Amino acid sequence: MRKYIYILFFVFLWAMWYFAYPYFLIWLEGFSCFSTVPDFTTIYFDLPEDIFRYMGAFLLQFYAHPVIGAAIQAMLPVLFVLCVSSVIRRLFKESEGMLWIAFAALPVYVHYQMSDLTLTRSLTILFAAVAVSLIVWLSALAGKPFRKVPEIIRNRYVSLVLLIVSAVTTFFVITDSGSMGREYEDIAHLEYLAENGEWNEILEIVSAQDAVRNEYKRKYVLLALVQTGKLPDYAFSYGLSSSEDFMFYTVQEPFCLAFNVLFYRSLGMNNPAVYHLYQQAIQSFPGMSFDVLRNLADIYLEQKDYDLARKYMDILAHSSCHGKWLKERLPVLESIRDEEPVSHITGAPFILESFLPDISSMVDRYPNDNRFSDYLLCGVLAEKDGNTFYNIFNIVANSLYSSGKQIPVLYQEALLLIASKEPDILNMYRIDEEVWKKFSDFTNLMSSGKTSQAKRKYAGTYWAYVY
Amino acid sequence: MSIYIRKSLSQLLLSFVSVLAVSCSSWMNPESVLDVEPDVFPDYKGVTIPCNIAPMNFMVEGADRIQTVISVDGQEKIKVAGKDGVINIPLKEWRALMEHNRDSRLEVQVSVWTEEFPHGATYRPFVMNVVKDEIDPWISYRLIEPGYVGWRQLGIYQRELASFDESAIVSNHASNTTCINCHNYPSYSSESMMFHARGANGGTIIYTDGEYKKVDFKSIGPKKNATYPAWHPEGRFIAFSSNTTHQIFFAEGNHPIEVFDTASDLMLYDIKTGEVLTDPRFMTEESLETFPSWSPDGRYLYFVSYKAKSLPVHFNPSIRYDLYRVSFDPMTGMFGDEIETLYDSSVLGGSVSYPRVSPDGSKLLYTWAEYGTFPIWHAEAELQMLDLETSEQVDLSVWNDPAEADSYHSWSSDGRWVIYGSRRIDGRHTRLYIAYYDHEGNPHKPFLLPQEDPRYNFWRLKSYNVPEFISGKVSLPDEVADLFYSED
Repeated sequence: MRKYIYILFFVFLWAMWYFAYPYFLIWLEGFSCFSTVPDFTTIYFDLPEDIFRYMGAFLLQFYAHPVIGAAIQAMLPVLFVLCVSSVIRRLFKESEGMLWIAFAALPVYVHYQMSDLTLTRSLTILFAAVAVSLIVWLSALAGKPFRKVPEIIRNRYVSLVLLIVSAVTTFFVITDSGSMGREYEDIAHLEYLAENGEWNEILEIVSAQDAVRNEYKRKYVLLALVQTGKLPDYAFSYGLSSSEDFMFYTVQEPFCLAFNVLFYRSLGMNNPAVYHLYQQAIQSFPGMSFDVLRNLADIYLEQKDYDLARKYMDILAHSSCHGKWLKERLPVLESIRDEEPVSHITGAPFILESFLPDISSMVDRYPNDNRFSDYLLCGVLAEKDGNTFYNIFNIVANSLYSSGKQIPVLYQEALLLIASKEPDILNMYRIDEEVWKKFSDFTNLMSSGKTSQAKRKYAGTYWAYVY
Repeated sequence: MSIYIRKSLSQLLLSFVSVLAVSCSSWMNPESVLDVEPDVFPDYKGVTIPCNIAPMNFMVEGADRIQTVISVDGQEKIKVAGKDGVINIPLKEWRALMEHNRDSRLEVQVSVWTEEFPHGATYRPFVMNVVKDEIDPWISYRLIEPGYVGWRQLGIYQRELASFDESAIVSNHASNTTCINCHNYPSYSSESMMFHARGANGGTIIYTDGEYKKVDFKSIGPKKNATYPAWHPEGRFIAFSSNTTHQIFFAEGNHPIEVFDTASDLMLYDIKTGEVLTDPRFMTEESLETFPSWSPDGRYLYFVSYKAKSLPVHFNPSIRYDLYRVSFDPMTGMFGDEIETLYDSSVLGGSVSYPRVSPDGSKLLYTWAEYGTFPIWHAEAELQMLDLETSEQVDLSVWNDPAEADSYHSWSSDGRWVIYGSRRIDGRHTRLYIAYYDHEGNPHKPFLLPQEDPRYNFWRLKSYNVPEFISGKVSLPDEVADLFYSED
């Protein structure tokens, strides 16, 4: 009977982790790093003090497959419960009904597991439990007497009820919507989609309200909007309120730096991507992470830098779970063996400063790339700087909208607003009839004092944002 | 357990496995003979090595099985076979070979079994020249990721050159936020050492003959931070530059980072009195003095300086540093009146960093770059040498890589060897090269610091930084780490 309870709990925990946190598990693998190259045991991990971290790093490699990751996450608490149960069996007579005591610790263990990004705490507690159970087992061999406990504690019905309570509590601990794991799962899901270029999927799963409320989600949505060419249509609907909404500046947390890497990589700006990757690496415990190593390898493959790409791939080859990943890239590596590295550079090198000046420099270099001009124009609109917008738009429009291509809605809205001071705009750029009508209605509502109604009715427009 | 013990255990295991592998596999005779030298990594072909260096292990990429025969005067001395194209020469046999052939030519014949030559091919032997000039037994260096702002693990490590033993002298393991840098020793002594620990509880740690202390330079004398050090050979003074350093990042191109100073001065710390001595000439805003370095007799201080065209100083590619020297009286701690210009960048072009005078005082080695003060990020950076007696340049092209940066360098105590950092392997991770400078003043082809497995050079994610020769193994008391411990 006992073993079925353990199996049942294992399956229960596995299912909880697998279905509730698949992307968090994948993210944990990317955040960790394990390699058999010598520096990992001499410099990155200070053994034997770091033995549990090292073991954790080894196990986390397998989290790239959520099925296995969930199994390990489920196995650790079940093993812990087994140890506690073993102690109870050795210490007390007639312990059959006392299984609940072992399971009572389960929610606590799982609670700590939720925030254990390196498995160090989980493994430390588990091995402490193993040590205690061994000591008790040895004591039992030495003939220490069993202790008797009151009937109520070992009552089978009480035990069953408390087991169910333990399971329910564990369920709530794992699925707690306010937990760190839940928050990480949501962001890890977005990160996963962005890494795979599934921009439309991001736009589907993040609502406008979510984006307005949550800084992480807002940044991912804005990135997805840029990549799909929809930023100048929906930027303000998704809560754009500053040019700093496009990436992270001051927060140096793993998700933030990983986002910044995605941001720069999606724009083909590899130098700042590498810069942020090195900062991202130090957020992980060993000072390096699989995610960083994979990104570095991919960047240098892209730049045809054989030596550096091979270096990072070689280190990854000394982990346990990169066979398929390497197999896909080895032909690419082989193909660039004799090529000269390519460092994209157009014009004079410029120094990274802050978002708008940097993007402005990129617009200069890549005038036909809508993504840069959309970032710049929307960033300027977010700062409510109509004059600068108009100056930039006049330049950008020459290369992007001179062939009669439709001007995005937000730009039309901004142009209409500026037209009161610069009437020539209406001769130079075509404003859609629909936008005209909306603007007329908006100004009527505003002039009749119905500001709230106007802003509500035209939420997401540049006008509502400005006023 | 120290890194030393762990590495020793792993080396023991590796040696055992390799001995087992070689002894189990019979010596094979390759079918083909090739009239070319093998393409070995590291490139040890034609290098000059000291007789007390660790085994010069190498590899041939793409080879499965590999065999090598090392001969002297036609006599076979060592035969080694290996897998994965890697030759790991047994330490004991190598030492015996070096001991009995202190001034000789080693002929290294390599045979490989590859896809192209499944039945084996033997290359024409290449030569390694052994000289009897011994190299200092230990080196120390910092290991740090090659970018950019933050760090997690970093430390100052030491390596025995006659073996592969590497151990941490001091690391930030207990407090990851601490940055440890700028280690320095007086006259190669391993009995004294200084380094900076930056962070919440940081300061300059000075360890001299069993005693240690932490100095907070921001609270004494001119209250300026201490940066690049130069310990006077007689031990009493340490010259420091005090730099206000910045980093900038380039969005595109293969020069991602530039590091520059907006201010730097020189000051002198008297270990005996605990005072900071200054000279008004080296404390002005208009000139940025940095990289102090003593002549071996301690009678001159060498340094580089940039004369700012306008204040405040901002980054620009016209920042060029000249090289100067000023006499010094160790009895009084005073500098002489005359400041001699040794390299005028406005005439000769480029910018000078890290002046280091040879132990006999005749040569001055420095790093040259087109501009700036942080040459390791400059692909064009190279070592240059000035003959102080003739003021002529010594041709060091054999030491430099035309494509990647060659930078920070140190002389061995006898002046016959130079160790320096180079990014020639992959353009990003600095590795250490050792070069011979013979008695006739000729530089010889450098060799990459030998590793137990040559692939360590690829597998190591960290860069080597500030290599220095030392006379022995440094043993800092455990309490030294407490001086800068911080929970932040």
